[in-house]
Amino acid sequence: MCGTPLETDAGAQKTPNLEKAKQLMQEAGYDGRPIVLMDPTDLPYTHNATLVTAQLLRKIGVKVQVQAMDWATLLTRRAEKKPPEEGGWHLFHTLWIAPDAFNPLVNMGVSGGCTEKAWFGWPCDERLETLRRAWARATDAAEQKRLATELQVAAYDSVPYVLTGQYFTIRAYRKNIKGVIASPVPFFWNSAKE
Amino acid sequence: MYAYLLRRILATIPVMLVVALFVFTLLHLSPGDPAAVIAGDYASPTDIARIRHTLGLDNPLYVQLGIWLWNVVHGDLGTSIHSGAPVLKLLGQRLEPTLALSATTMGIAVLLAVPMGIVAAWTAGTWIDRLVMVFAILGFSLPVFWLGFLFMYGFSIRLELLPVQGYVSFTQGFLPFVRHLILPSITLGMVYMALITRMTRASMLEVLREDYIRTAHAKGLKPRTVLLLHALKNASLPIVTIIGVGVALLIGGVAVTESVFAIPGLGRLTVDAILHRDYPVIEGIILVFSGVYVLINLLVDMVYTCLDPRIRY
Repeated sequence: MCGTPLETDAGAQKTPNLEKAKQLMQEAGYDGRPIVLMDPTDLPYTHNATLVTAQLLRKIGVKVQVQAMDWATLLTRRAEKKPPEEGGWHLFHTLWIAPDAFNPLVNMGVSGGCTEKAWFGWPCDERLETLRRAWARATDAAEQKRLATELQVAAYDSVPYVLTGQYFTIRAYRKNIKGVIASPVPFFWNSAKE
Repeated sequence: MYAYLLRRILATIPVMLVVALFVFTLLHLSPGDPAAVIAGDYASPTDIARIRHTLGLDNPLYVQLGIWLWNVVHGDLGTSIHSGAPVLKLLGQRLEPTLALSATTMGIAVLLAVPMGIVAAWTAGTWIDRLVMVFAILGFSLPVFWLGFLFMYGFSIRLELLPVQGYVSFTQGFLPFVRHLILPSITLGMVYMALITRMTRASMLEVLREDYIRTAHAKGLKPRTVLLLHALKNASLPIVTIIGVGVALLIGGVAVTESVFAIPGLGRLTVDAILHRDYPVIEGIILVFSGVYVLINLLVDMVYTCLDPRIRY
C-alpha cells in the first residue's frame, strides 16, 4: 500500500493494455460464456467501479452479466461456491481500509489457502502461503520488506484479487470540535463540542 | 356511532396481523443474511453460524414468527440486530422528526393546494386554470429525490438561504426548527399538492354545475359565499379522502426525503434497517405504519360525518 513501510510497486502493471488483455483472454480459452459481475448498487464506490469494469470487459470481448443487488445480498451470495448458473458468481468489487490490507498477514486477499483458508474466490497458491508464513516469522524489517516485495510479485502473477486502486477520504470538522482522533473509520469517542 | 368506532378499532388487529405475517415472511425469504452483515468481511462460516444461533435466526421460520408475535402482544418489538437497542426505543427516538416533517408537509400541501384547486375550478378554461394544471402535472412527474437535490443546490448552496441538510428539534429553537423543515417539506409536499389540487378542482367543478349553486347565485349571494360555503362544503368529501390517502402515502415519501436531507426519522431508519437486514426494526416499523394507516382511514371516515350529516354509521 502506498504510504506504508512495505510500499512497493514491484510486479505492478503501470499502463493498461486492452489489446494484450483481449489476447490473453483468448489464450486462456474464454469460450464466450457470460461472466457474472455482482453489482452492489447501494454502495457508490463499488457500484461505480462495477460499471467501469463491466465496460472494460466488454471492450476486450467478454460477455458480461451485471447483476444488481444490495450489499447485504452480495455478502450472502459471495459465500456461494457453486457455479454462477447455480447461484454463484465470477467477479465482484469490494473495498478495504488500510489496516485490512497493509501487510501480508492482515491482507486476506493475498491468501492462497484454497477453500479452507483463503478469502472469497478461494485461490490456491502455496507460494503465497509460504511467503506469508515466512513474513510472519521474519524479525528483521529489511527481511520483511524483501519478503513483502516477493509476495507482491507472486500475487501479481497469481492474481488472487485485482487491486484497482487506492484513495484517501476527506474528513472535515468544525474548529469547535475537540479531541477528534484520526482513524480509518470515523468514531466519536473522545470528541467534544466546545 | 361508538359501537362502530369500537368495531373499526378492533378491526385494525386482524389487518395488522396480516401485514405482520406478510412482511415477516417476505423479509425472511428475501436474499441477504443479517449475520453475514454483522460478521464482516473476515468472518468464517463458523462465525456466521454462531451469530445466527445467538440471534435465533437458525430456528425454523414458524418458531421465529411465534416468538416475535408473542413478544409483540406483550408490547416488546424486539431488539435491533444492528445496534442492539430496543426497537421501541429506536422508534421513539426517530418519531419526532418524521411527525414534524409529515405535519408540515401536509399542512403546506393542504393550505396551498385547496385554494389553488378552488381557483382553478372557478376560472375553469382560462389561463389560470391551465397554469394550475401544468403545476399539478409537474408535481406528479418530477421525482422527489431530484427535486430535493435541485432545491438544495439552489436555495442552500448557491443562495445560502436555508440549511443543506439535517434536522433541529423544536426544543432547540423555533426558527432553526422551521428553517430545517422548509426545503424537505416543500420537496415532499409537491406531489401531494398536485394530487389535492387536481381532486379539489375536479370535485369543485362537479358541484359548481349543480342546480343549488345556480339557485344560490340567483338568490344574490356573493361569489365567495357560494364558493366557500355552498360549493366547497359539498365538494369536500373527495378532498378529505384524498388528503387521507396522501397522509398514508407520506409513509413511503418520507423514506426518500429523509435520506436526501439527512433527517434522522423513521423513513431513514427503515432504509438503514433494510440495508442492514435488521429484521426486528423493519417489522416494528411496518407494524406501526400499518396501524397508523388504518387509524388514518378511520379518522377520515369520522370526518365524513362532520361534513355530511346524512352519513351515519
